Amino acid sequence: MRILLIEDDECIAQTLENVLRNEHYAVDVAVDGQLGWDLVETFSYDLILLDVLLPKLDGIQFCQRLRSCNYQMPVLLLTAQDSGADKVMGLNAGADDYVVKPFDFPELLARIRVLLRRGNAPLFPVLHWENLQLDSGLCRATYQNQVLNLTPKEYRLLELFLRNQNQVFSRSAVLEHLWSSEEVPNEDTVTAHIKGLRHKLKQAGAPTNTIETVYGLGYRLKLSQAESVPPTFSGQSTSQNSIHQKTKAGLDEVWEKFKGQNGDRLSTLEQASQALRTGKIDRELRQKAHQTAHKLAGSLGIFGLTEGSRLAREVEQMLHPERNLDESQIRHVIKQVAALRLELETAFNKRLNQIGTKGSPNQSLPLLLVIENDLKLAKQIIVKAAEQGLQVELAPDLAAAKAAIDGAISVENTHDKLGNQTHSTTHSLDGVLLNLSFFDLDEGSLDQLATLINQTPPLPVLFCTTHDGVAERVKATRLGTHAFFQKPLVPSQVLETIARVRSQVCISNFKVMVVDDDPQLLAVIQNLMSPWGIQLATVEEPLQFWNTLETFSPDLLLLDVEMPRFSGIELCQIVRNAPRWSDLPILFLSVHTDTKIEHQAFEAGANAYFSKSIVGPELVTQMLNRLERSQLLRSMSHDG
Amino acid sequence: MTNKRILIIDDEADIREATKLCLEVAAGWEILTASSGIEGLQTAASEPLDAILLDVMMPDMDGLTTFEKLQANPKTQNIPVILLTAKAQPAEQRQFTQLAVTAVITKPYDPLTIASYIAEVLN
Repeated sequence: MRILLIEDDECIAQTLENVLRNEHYAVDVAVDGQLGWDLVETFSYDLILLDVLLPKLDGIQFCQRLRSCNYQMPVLLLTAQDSGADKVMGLNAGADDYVVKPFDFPELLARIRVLLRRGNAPLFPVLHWENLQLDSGLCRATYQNQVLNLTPKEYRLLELFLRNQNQVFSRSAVLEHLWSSEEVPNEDTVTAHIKGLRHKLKQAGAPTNTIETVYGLGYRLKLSQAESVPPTFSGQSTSQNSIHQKTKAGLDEVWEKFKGQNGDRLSTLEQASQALRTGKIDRELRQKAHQTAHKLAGSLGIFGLTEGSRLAREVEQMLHPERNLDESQIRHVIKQVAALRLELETAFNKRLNQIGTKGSPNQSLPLLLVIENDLKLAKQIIVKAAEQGLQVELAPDLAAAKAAIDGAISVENTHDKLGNQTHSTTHSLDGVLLNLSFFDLDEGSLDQLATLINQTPPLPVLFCTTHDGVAERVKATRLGTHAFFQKPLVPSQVLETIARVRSQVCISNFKVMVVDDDPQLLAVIQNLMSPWGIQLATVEEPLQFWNTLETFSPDLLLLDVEMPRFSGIELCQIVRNAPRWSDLPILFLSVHTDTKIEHQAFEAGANAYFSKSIVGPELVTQMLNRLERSQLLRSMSHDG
Repeated sequence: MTNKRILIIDDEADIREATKLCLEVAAGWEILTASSGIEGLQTAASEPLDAILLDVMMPDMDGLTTFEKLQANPKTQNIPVILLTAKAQPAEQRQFTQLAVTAVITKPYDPLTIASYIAEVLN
């Protein structure tokens, strides 16, 4: 059982955390309401212990927001002795019970047990499964009355299966239930505990594989022979199985036939989600999205997407035309729609933009590629990204990752005006989050990854891994990665890092103005700049210089020295004489290598002086350095 | 299971086909379909039927209006009607159960047991 404790008093929080951990609960602690909310949106909890007076988001507001977003876990308020009004407000806001500080710990623990009993998973004092018994009051498990000598984690593991009989738990689901976010075990740890538990059950005489592995899904208590046969109404179990198989196969065909329709339905919900985010949803779109969510809620479960139906149902309820949504509810709708996309994509192991013609990614939104096989983590990132207006494409395996990368990159071969062949590479991705373990597989994959990272302009690539060794970090650095995370990840941190890296490497918003009377040189520079997405204004006639400067408003100016009517040095002087342009980086590009002219250029206010012989990658590098430095200085002056 | 003729009235083609498939495969019943209330009324009045599965939310003529018209027609008033609905609110559910319908099935239904449930209800 996993508990979230939201308490700003560190002393109380520490004491409570220790008491709860001694009772074998997994505990996460948040020191303010906003952090608590972030954790609720990231992980799933069985119960929340909530202080009333909290910084950033107080307990009452927290509770109201929780219930308005349809979170159903029990909430136990922690209130001060003389706060009768808080108790009433808290209970009215959706809390289930309260305890008064200073705590009587036995009472607090008893109230926690009572609330957990009311939850979806009833907490009976003694749990039974055939000859297995688990007495949660005594913290004791037995098989045929023989006590099992279990470690605390094995005990909680067995309890999890006994409380959720027939339910399959993936390794990540087990981690979610039994470990707190501060603990960093990997999925192999679960395997080890399962192995230990199986061994002890076998020693006590339980059948082999009492906890069975469901291939590709996880673990559950093994169904007895009688229960493993689906209930029938013909009495013929064999023919019944055949009927079920035929029905499922038939439903798959029906799904295939109508998958485009479901892609369109999702597209409608995404339009509404986007419109809600920008505050521009009209009544007609909302009505349409409400009806669409209703249809999806009714149909997806029939085709095996139970979670999809649940998500669509939530969206339907939130989009009811008579309902007014506050900011947190709008964010919740956006997240649920994003989660619904993921359900549809992962359930059929396909990219959704292949399903519906209208389901392809919105070109106007940044696109993040997540190469990750932990679907739970991917889902958390997707819903958080949707909240921030990012689209996520998920590649759950290496093949899908390669297809996504290939699809995102295009190489165009062209000839410039001088007849030289050039090629430019463009991609539609704005960032990649990659599970490094994928690329342990082969060297070819590493090469492909290096190609991906070393794009023009560079693509922000973030690695994550369960192993935090020097070797992994060096490998990632050699590949040119921009950030390295060790799991477990907090999605909001990942997205913040991607935004930071993007702002560092993304220069596509920069504007460069080039003044030169040689059209061939202007064409060469244009070819050099275009792969970077830099906006370029070229001026052949110096008379047009000032107008272009004022209207284009460049971030960098590149000047030739010798031109008709006005020289570059004169233009540089008039720029420097205008206060508005005193900080504009000015670079000279000239055939003259005379130091006297170079000196004049610097006296006029130039930042750099280059010979035209360097036109090529070196010029680009110099310009990018100047642009980055200028951007850095600007941001420092803003911060100051 | 004894042979039956069932009419499914639902405007959503995927649900119509999925439900038809589930009932044909599991029970071997003969299934007729209609994509609107009006088409359903015509079929119900002209074909011998053992039951009608009727969707509630449909454009033009909704399920409840269709049900009223089935009740008003002597040719169709004795055909058992099972409502299919994705309405999840308790108030709406209560409203449906107060009607003279034989049963209410909530969507999404379990495709592997819907046939046995309908057989049980009709028996």
